[in-house]
Amino acid sequence: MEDFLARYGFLLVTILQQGLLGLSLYFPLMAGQLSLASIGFYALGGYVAAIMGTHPELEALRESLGFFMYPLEWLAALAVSTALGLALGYPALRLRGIYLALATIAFVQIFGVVVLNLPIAGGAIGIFDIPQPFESRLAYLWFFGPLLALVLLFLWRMERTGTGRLLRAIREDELAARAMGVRVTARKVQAFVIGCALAGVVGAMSAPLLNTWNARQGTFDAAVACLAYVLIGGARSKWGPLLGAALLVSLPELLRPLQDSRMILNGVVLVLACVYMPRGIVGLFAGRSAGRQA
Amino acid sequence: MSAVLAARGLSKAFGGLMAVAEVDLEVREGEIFGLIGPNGAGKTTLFNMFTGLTKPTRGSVRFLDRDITGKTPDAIARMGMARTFQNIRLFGGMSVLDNVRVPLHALDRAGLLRGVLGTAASRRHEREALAQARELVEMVGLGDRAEHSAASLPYGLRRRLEMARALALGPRLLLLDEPAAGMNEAEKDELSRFIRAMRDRFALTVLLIEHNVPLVMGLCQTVAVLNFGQIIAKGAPREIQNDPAVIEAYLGVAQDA
Amino acid sequence: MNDGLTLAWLLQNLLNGLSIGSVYAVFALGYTLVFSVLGIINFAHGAVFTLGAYLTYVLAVGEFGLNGLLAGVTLPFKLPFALALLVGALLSGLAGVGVERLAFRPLRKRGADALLALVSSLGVALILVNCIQYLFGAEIYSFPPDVLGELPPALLFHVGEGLVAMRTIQAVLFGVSMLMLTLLVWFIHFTKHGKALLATAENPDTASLLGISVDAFVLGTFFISGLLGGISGTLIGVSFGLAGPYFGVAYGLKVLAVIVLGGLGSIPGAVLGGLVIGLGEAFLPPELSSYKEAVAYTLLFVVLLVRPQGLLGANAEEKV
Repeated sequence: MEDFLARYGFLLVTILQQGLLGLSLYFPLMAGQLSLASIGFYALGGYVAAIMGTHPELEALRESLGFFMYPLEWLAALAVSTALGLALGYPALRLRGIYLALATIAFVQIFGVVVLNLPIAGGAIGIFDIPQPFESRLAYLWFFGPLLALVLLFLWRMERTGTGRLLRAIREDELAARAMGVRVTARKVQAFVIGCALAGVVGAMSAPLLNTWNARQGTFDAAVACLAYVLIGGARSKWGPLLGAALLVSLPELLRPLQDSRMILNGVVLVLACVYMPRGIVGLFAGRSAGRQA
Repeated sequence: MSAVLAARGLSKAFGGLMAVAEVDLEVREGEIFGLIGPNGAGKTTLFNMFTGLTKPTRGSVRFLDRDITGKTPDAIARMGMARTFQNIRLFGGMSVLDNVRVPLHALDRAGLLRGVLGTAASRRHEREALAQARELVEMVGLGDRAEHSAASLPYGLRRRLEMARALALGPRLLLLDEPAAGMNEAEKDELSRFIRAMRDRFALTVLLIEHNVPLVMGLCQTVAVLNFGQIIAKGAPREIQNDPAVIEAYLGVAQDA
Repeated sequence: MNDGLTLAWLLQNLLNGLSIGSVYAVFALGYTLVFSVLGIINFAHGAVFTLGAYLTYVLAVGEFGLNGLLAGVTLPFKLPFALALLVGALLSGLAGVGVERLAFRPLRKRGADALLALVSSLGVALILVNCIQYLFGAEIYSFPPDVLGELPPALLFHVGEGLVAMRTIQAVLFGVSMLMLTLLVWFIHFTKHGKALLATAENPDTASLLGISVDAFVLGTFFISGLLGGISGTLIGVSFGLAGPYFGVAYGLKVLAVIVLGGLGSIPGAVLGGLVIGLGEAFLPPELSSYKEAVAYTLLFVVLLVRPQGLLGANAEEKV
């Protein structure tokens, strides 16, 4: 058991972490908006936590707060992500479809370049030696677990109330939703900002886990991975991103013997999933009843 | 009787093409107003300008005595103007009941957080919205299909759902875009009865676009004829029927369905 | 700043901007052609770009590097650059067709969501790029300086007080790009397939209405798109070296900004967008040079805020 946990502990934590990132994409997707900005906010949140964790000027604060420094980092990341998300969201969400996706990609790229040039972010090397709250990586389940549970609960409640239906309506037919009195832009921004905020918090939690933080955390590859989790797991269910993450994170691990071909296989999985499982894993199971029942 | 909707000099140009030119229109409270004209006459464009989907190039629209020119479609909808679409735009993946609940939720001021936390106010809203939606769904005869997805409904029932959804907005003015499309004679009679009944029950004013001239003549108190973006005749159905300009407009075009 | 604003400075930056901008334009057109016909962004275009560069490298230089499956292998032949470019381009065209077969065709048959096609093309891009890595390794490849033959490295012009240097490779970039653009314009306006392409860009149903086999039509489009990708990849590779199999990704994203800037689906827009961004990067003040990669995206943002349909894009009002 010890052995198993030691070997697969990190994997489990990674699955939860990536699942949460997928969920950050899921929020805007509920309103039919494809945003690839999450990964930028993940990087941002991580930088906030990394800086708060290592910057000499905050040493005294860290001493006095002890473990409670971490929740403070999360709150700071949440605040910064929400603010930047709003600033980005209002102009960006007036764009449709592919334009929005590209605008969010553009944001991530610009963010990457800016961060490389900011001394406080450590330039290309980034920030390292971020203090760890726990000895083992498995213990990070205490961070990601409750967060995941909270997010799923939030989504569960949201789906059963007005806001969830409004977002679905927007996704189904934005024009008709407008004609029915839905404040479409405001709702889209709302969903988008929640996603950004979540990504920021996940980033803040991940910085200590990964010990170092640099611009490589916010790459296009990572954004693609998030998107893949959601699509493969099922874009219409809150369980989708988690299932997708579970599959796509464990696959390369299970395929370790195939070392170099891992990434190729990832690509193959993506293509096959798009072709044969367009509604994702969740869709496979919901398939039968999806016709008549809503 | 006051004017619920008033358009003055309303015009819309798409590039070089004048789709709607200098339209003056008044819809009085409580009446059923019909807008007819050959294909491509600009009827739907006019509708779109009323509902805010399209910005007029010139002119103004007043609704319930307020200038709504340039307002967003959702604001206008919340003011009390609801519509159905020529191509029926339902929220396909959502259930019949959910479709009808959407406008009710849109009108509610309570936010996301209160909903998620389940405050007393938000729970009450949920209950009331559900009850109202059920009532409307029953009224249009879709009670037994309340949980079915909108996409699964046959064509004839989709129109009814669209109407129930529009009524959920609690509108003062209901705009119907070709509500009789694809219907046979019996269904058209049923539709006329239904529109009159809704108008009476909810104290509505109705403005409809229709191809089917007999239907319009029988149902509407006032009729306006649009051709090439301009109003060529306006008045009671009897007057319109005998208007030479109208006859020419219709005879000059290939036989309409 | 006064002595900076000379005619020489202006011409030098114009030259730099136009030469790289014209390559961006060629690359962008590959995206635009597919977008016009299928209405989707082909994310594998950047991978074909990369493939083209590697293929031409192998054909022109004849030997592989120190890593990867083909480490140390030397080909029994070495083609002159122009020929290598041509063959590389044709093979890239075939790769483009392969991408269509793998990523898009199965989804088209099912009438699937555009979003799925996007992700599918991403998957294919991943496969392609990693195959390249598998075969070539991740090291940097550089074309030898004499790959273009016995030409001077640069030509110098005296302009007013200053000096304008035109690197031979810049002339090649510009020349080849202009040639491709001219060929493309001729193709679109004077051949049956090309005219059908233009018509389809206006209205997607046109192809089937014209009685052209849709499948063949789509194949042809992807072939040309791949060709354009491969050529632009090679040109960039010769200019700046092949910095690993992922070097196409950054360009691929940047050129997405190009086509949105120019207006999605607009062919002149792709050209304009490419030139604008090329010039934007060239005219960037030296003290901001580390922000060069952000130029394209910043310009994109600005344009999207002010004119969402791009510079030359059509303002499409949704039909109700």
